[in-house]
Amino acid sequence: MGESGAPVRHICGISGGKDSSALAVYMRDRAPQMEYFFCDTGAELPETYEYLTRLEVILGRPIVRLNATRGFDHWFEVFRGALPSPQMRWCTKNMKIKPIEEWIGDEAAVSYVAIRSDESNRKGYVSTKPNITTRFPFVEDGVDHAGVLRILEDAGIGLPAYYEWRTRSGCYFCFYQRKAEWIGLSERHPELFDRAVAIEQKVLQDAGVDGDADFGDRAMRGRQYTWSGGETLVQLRNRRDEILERHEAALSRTTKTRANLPLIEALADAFNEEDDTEPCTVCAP
Amino acid sequence: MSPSSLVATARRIAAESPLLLVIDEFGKNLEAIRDGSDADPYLLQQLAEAGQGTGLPIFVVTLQHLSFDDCLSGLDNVQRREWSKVQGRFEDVSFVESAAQARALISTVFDVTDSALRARIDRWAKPLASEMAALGVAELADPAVVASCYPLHPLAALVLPELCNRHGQHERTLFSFLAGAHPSGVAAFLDSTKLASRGPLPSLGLEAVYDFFVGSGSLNIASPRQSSRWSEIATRLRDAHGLSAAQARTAKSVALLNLVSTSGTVRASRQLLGLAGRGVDAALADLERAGLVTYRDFADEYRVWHGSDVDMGVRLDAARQRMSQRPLVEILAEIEQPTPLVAARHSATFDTLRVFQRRYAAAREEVAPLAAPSAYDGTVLLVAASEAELPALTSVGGHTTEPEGPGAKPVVAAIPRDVAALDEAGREVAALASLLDDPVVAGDRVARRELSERLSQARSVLDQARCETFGSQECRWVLLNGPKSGERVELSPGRGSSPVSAAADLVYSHTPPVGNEMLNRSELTSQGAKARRLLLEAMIERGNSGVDDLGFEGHGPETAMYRSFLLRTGLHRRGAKPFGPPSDAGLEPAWSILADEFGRSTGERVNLAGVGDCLQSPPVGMKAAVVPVFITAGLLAFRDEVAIYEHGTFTPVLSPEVSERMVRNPAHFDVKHFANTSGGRLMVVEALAERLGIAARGGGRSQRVSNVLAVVSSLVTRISRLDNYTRRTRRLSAGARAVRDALTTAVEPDQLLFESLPEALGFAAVGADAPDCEPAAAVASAVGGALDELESCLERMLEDLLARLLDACGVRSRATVSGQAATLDGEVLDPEVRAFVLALANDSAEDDRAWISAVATVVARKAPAEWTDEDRGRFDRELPERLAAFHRLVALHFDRRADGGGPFDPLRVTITRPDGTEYIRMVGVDARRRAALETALDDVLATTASITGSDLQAEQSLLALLSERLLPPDEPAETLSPAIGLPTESDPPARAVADGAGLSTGRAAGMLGRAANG
Repeated sequence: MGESGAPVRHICGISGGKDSSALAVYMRDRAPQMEYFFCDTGAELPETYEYLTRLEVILGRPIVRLNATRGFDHWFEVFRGALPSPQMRWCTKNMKIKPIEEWIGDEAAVSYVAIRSDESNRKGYVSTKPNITTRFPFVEDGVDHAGVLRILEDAGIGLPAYYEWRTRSGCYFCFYQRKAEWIGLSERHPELFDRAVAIEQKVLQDAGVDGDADFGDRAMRGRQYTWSGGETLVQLRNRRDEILERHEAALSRTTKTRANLPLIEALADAFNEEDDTEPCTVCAP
Repeated sequence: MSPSSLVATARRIAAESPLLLVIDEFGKNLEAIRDGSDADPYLLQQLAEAGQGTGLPIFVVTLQHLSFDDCLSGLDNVQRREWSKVQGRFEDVSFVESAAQARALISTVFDVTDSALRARIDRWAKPLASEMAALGVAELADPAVVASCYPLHPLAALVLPELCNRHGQHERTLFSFLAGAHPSGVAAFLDSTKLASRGPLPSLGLEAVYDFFVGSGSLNIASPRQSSRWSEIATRLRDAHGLSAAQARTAKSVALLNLVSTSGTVRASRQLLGLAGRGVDAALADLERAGLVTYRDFADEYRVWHGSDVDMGVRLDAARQRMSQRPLVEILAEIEQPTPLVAARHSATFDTLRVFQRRYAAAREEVAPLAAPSAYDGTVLLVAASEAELPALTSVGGHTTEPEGPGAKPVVAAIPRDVAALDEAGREVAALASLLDDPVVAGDRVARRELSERLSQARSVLDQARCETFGSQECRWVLLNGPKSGERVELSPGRGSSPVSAAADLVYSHTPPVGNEMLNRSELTSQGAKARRLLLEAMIERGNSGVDDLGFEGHGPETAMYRSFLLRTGLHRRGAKPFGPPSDAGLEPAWSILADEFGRSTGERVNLAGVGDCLQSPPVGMKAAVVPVFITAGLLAFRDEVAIYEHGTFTPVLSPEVSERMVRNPAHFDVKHFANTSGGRLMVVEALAERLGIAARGGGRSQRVSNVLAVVSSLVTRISRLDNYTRRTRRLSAGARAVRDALTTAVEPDQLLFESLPEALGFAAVGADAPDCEPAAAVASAVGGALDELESCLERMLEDLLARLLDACGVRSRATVSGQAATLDGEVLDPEVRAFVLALANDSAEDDRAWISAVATVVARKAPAEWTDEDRGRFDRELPERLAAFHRLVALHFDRRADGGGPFDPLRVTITRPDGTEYIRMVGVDARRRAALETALDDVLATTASITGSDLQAEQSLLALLSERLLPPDEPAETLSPAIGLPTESDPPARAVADGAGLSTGRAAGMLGRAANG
């Protein structure tokens, strides 16, 4: 109950990654009326969907799926084949921010965000809406990386399976994905990689060889025709060995400088060394 | 006096004595012609002929400052040709004054009476003259000449004649400079300049000449070729701010030299500018840095003017020549896109904007009418030939099979009487435009700018010519594809767009009443698009609910759209079938197109983009933005008969998001009609509807519906809700598996119902013409049974898992297992076992199902709903091992307590709250302290009994109070876990262990290992 007596909602967003999942488990016994939600793009990795169901069972509560009926495929059709890109991030706007704010509405709500105590300088998605207050339980209670892993172990759900080859949750074709992660996708989920290739090819074909042949009236600056900067996925896949070699080298450098690193951290550091573009803070909190 | 009487008078005079007619300032007459007055060149020609033909002594002399050609440079070709004919009757006697003559004239203006001054002037002139000689200016190399021009600086004397010669009216301006009262003139200079008795003599330099001629704008710029340079220079200097006096003086000197120089010695070279005075070098450097002047290396010249080396005249003539060879229609099509034309009267009458595209066409050209997706309602052909034959129509793209039949958008031909003006204006624009692409011009900024100016002028001439040529009264108007059979219809010209309105009246005879301006458009505004999206969403979600205005509140645009287009026309109303045929007769033709197209789709699917095209074509011509609303009303009206497919896949429900995609890309959607089921098939459908309890969608709630789509939609919806385990497992009856596979692979609703489903269950397929189907009830019952089995599949698996677990533990209730696990309270370190024990201890689970799900998830690391049969197998294999480890731990736990404290009889205490939630704890007493504790208890009981009055009541009261203390105050049941020792951050397991039995966590792990080994 809020001070005024009106009900205050307690909400916790789950990205499909370890931190937010751990927070959900952590809050399970602390905020009984917690509403858990997940922004479904319809294009998550199968590992993510499987993990969410696991989490739901452990939480003993449903995780509300936002925009279950309007995922990436829907918006891709509506936007008539424009790829989202860092410059034109319609994906985040239409599939994350808008649905969340619509779902929360105008009621007073406390939003719990999974920033760990060892990364308090990182920014998660903090709503600017006045009716939402944000709390950072892990920062308040000093839960760090090891604490998160411990929470997940105790709950018996462990980590999502994609952490073996990818550092972040999110769409299988996320354009913030690193080159080596694309290679990972092509090996773990060749069918999803092929779908990403098909989407890219369609965009390239529609745009015409010289650029905006058929998109004249909808052309806009910063439009992106390929998922990964500077090359098509087919070209990227053809450079597989080169990309993996670089990745291995980065990985071994990282593990040399920091001993006894869990693989998940080494992987993240290695990716960061290869490419330091800022990921999407909404999709990958 | 008329021209002919003038000629007659001249003849009469000449008959008496020779007549010499002198027309001074004839340039003014020519200017008048150029400015559009109708002075008659013919008079001059007649006068000339009067002299030549008859031998009469008539002589006409005209005096003008420029040649005929330069005077007439602004005229168009026709007029210029006319004048050159006249000029041919005359002889040109040109008078060109030499620079020396002009200077001689200048020198006569100044009269120096003071002999002392005369001597100073001579001394002043000498070095200047020799410097002029050094520069190679022979005319001013003589000190006497230089002196005679004083107070003009020799540089000013050098440029003046050329400047006046080139830009104007000779002495007129020259003398107004020398003698006029203008503030920058010589007279003003002489009046205002004080003459010091010693020091250098002041003189009037180039900057004064610039101020007078350029700054004041007093020069008459006759030739456009000069004017561009002139205006560029003047503009650049005018726009240059913050120049020092020396800089301004230098800049003006450079500018003036640029104006008069073509090449040779008179140019803005450093040497020549040096003559103008001191400080020039520094000023030049500053100006160059500021970008106001540039130094041209090859010419050794500073320039304000960027300059153009393009001879526009020659190039333009060549371009005109090239254009004269090409067909007019080709040229026009290339250079301009005539603006579309609104059929004004028709649009106002029908409240629907009809816009015709206009384009040029050749006589007898083959023209294709516009196809439906075009936003234009028709085409106006501007035939670029006078009195031409009509263009012919070719076939239309799209659905219309007849080349000129109904459905094609109208084509109206306008055949003008006279195209001469259009012809000339068009070719001129084309010639100028083609020069812009000339690489020489493209690289020359100045030439480009001049050309652009001339081009825009020529374009406005062309606009005028087009308006006049294709004015409604100036043309014959013909509709090329009339509404009956593509016949030709002559249209009455009327005024303005009247012939096009007449064509629209004929062709769009069934224009639907929409009544909403925001909706009735080809393309919506963003506000309109939002309103339409809300409208479509409300139609789909609330169309059947019977609420007023589809639930819209207020008077927003979506309400207006609803009321005017859906409610007023009767497309939507209250009742059992809220969407249906309109009551407004004006919408009937459109509705019957919709009904026909849907009806046509019984055999094969019909694409929605095609339906939209039909609606947008004549005779209905519905506007593109209205089409989605109309089609959606149709789909909702026929929702139980018409199936929707997106990208070829059956879509059981028309949801708002499907609608959003449909609005964007109607071509991705097909429809198919499933209405008239009868005979055996009808029996199957009815039996299924009965068995599955399917009510009509949107209709009365109790009313059973006997149609394919309602049944299939219900089936597909139920299947789509199944969990992944049920979708994958083989642990189902063969029938359920077959039904599941048939439903998940189904593409066509009728094939599913009448072929795949019966066959999957071992029945024969039911043909479309089967008169009856005896086993209909059996089929329905089997399908229903299979569905029930599928929907309970996960539930049954969980029951099975629970039974297995309880069996293995030898207990009947999960509470027992939970209680045992709870006593282990954080004593386990092995992460896997620990997670398992915590899952068993979990008492926040709502029911058995939630509890076993969580336990199963921990064991298999995957939620049961996501399991495959392999996961289930693994659970079955691993559960006994996990339970064995758990039981060893439990035994160990009790042993340990017993070790530490002698005889130990644990008791399990269960406290049940009034709301039914239970709280369980294992309790026990350390044998070594038992006696002391019992004494303490007796004391307390005695004290309590003195309050309660009886021993029994004392015992019960204490028990109640103790129980309450065990429960955390005012907390809902779900958060009881801290009370039973579920580890939390605030109650770390390590501490709990240390406080309890005095075991270190390390020892607990060690003991676990030992126990497992033993």
